[in-house]
Amino acid sequence: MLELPQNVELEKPASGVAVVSFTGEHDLAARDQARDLLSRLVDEHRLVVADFSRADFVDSWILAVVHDIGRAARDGGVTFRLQLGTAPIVAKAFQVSGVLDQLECVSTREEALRDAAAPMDRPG
Amino acid sequence: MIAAAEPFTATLPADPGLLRDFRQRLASWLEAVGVEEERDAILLAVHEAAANGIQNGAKPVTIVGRVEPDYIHIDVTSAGRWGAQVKELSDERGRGLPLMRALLSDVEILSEEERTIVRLRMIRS
Repeated sequence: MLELPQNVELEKPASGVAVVSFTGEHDLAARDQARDLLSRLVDEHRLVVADFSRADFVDSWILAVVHDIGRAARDGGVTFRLQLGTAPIVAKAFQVSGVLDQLECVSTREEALRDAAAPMDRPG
Repeated sequence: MIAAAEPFTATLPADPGLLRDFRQRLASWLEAVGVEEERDAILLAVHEAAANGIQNGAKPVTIVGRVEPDYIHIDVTSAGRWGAQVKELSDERGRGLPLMRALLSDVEILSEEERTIVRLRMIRS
């Protein structure tokens, strides 16, 4: 069973889909755990949503992890979406670091999960 | 606005696990000296400087903040020179220095023989 870092929640709303929610504060101390978790999810899913909409703090080490994993997902044909909310400092950190330019960013879970149904589950 | 406030001082051992408590202490001090709007940006910028010092050296990082009539100054001092670190910060693995400079308009890096001081200055609102 996947061991989750502190302040991290994992949902699997559909086959091949993982939503990992980061709440509270995430910094250098949690970098390796965040990288290991996201890397594993990207390896095992076709859509991964990294939801930071309930995060209060992220630093440059976490931003780098998200950037690196997002790029690896793209290279591997996995859809990787970043969900941001209203915490100004978190959104600003992603924005000014340039990470937003590299990733698909959404503001709602509905947007994050669009096209989430597995091809075999789709009607018609 | 507080006319005169005690300086903020902290010494952080090279343990990233202590950064969260450090931020809480710094947040309390910023609140005490009347920083509201820019508080989160200052917290993140100082965190970046402190975390980088921790990440790149085995010695403690010291943080000193002081209040002047128009400005708040915060110095983050770590062992060693930042030459190699700044180079590292320019690649994709590190975004700390660009992040600091995007958050605060006045960020100065003073490289001395055996230490580096990141000097942050904010206008008091």
